[in-house]
Amino acid sequence: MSLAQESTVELRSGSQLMIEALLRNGVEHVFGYPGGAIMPLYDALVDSGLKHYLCRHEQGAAFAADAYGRVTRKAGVCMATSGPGATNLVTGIANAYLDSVPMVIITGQVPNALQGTDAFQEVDIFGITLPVVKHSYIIRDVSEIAATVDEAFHLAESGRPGPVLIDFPKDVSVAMHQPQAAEPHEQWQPPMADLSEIEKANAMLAKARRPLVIGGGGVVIGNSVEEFRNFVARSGLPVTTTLKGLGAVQTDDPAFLGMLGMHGNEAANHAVQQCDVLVYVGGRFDDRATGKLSHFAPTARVIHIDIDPAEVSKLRRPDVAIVGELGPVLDQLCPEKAGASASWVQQCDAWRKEFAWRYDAPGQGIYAPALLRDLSRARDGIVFACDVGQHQMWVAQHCKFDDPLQHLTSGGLGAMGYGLPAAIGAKVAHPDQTVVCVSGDGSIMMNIQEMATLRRYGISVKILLLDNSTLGLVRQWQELFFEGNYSEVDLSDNPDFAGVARAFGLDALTISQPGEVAASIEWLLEHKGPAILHVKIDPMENVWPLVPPGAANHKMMGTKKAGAW
Amino acid sequence: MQHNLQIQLKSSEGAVLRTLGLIERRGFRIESMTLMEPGGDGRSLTVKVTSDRAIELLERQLARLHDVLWVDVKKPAANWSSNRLGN
Repeated sequence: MSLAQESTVELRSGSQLMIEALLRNGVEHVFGYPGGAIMPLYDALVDSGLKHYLCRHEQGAAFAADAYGRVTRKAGVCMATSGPGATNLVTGIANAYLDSVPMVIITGQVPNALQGTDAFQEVDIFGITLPVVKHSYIIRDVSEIAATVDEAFHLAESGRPGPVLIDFPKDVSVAMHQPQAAEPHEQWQPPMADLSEIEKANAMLAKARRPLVIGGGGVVIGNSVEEFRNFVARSGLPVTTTLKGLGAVQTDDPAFLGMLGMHGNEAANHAVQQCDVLVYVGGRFDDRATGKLSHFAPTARVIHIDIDPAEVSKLRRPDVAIVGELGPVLDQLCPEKAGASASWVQQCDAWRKEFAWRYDAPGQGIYAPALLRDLSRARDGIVFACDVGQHQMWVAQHCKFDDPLQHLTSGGLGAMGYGLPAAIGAKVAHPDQTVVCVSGDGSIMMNIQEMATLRRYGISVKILLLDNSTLGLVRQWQELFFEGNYSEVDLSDNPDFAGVARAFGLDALTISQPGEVAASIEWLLEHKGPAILHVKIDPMENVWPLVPPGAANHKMMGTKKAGAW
Repeated sequence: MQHNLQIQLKSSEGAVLRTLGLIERRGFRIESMTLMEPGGDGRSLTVKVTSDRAIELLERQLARLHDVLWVDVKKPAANWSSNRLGN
């Protein structure tokens, strides 16, 4: 380039180049919180075309980006400054990692020259997050920005998705450079499924007597719901799902036996324990799903289908392993109806009827499972963003999901505090959908500050707060497994949640009587703007059934036969 | 059970830390290691590990790291070191 030409090129700051790279990668919304080392990026953000949502804690920003990534299947983006800003993101990054959610995280960092000197707000966020990212970068030179950002988005979204962190030192963010175009980078290639393994699976299914399908979160993440449903319908197989697979088939599908696992439906758990061929699609044999692993599906030959070769034989050695993109694999599986004995089909049907959820609980108070069932059937397509605890399991058990993206839950990490910011991320991504955050009185306090975010942007999230004045799931375990030695679970001195919500600018309603439920559900759903329905429930209510830790899945406590109530 | 791994890494920042961290987190004890930069792109990491866990699984977990170009599991230590290192 001649000197004359060079002088006509308008140089950009690293921060401007970062914003341009985000826009080029299709980013419209980012969630974050400014601070010292990332101030140049926030300076470039103004009037950039990117819409930034100021969350009131970096963890909230990370969870919002997570949910945004789940519902759009595009990387959700969050950003924070160095030091405490970055460390506050870590729980959200771990959440995205364990649930395979596409996310790009941008952290400010102290200038290169100050790194390694214990500078103000310096932490090694690259090092801290190594175990919980799919990949990460430190941008050392302004010339690397475009290539790094392009590759980060590709990695976050391709294959088995995950969080990718970009640490962005301040000196790089202010350095000047000529405009940068998209650069070609290494493209992820999907593994080619082995045809002979597919044939083996088909032969096994043709001869099966008691076959069963488990749909995992991979069906959802891999955008293979349609292929999964076609496979289930074509094969005639009974089906269960993991927590993250809920909605892979519709809740009311007659082939659906309910969720399996620790708080699964007994029909599903009995079917898994007695099946002879088990097709496990896009799942990872998580301990909350399998119970005691050595007793899981003891009579089954397993066909494991996943896009990630590192999941094969991690916990259960399959008889057939098919590594590839789920959709194309499912399309080749079971071209005709699978083998299944008439007695197995009848047995599954009988289990489904026998263990259908009951809502005739004794007691005078509001029965949360019935409320959740009614709420989820009051409108089509409600998106539920859950916190973690008893209410989370009740949502999984009792809500109706026609589409898996109606269910946002912190499955792998089990992070209390996920619900409210996740609801924000989902609502920002899809403003026309009804988004309900279901929380508990423990969880809501983990990120209650995000009520201010609802108010600031007028984000019309509905909060259903199930308040039993206790850390319910911990209390339940202490009751059952620690001889009722209740330790640090009493929350009877909770604040007045309706009053707190009103102080944040939300509308609030508190109820405690079953007769108030129907009208209050309508109030919540019809209310314009953000609102909270605060529901007082019985502190001693438990989540049933329950597979005790370390037990096989069919050894459930609190079964209907044993008299759950 | 003892195994020897040869891992070809990109020369990207943090690749060594990321790889060794994964090995330990996944339940393998690092007995010894050598890092060489033979020229050209990338670095060569040889690691001797022990664990009761399946080495095939670790191999696949390493292979999915973006920093890892390829992984090779060598035969048990004695044969491998005499063949490859001549000592």
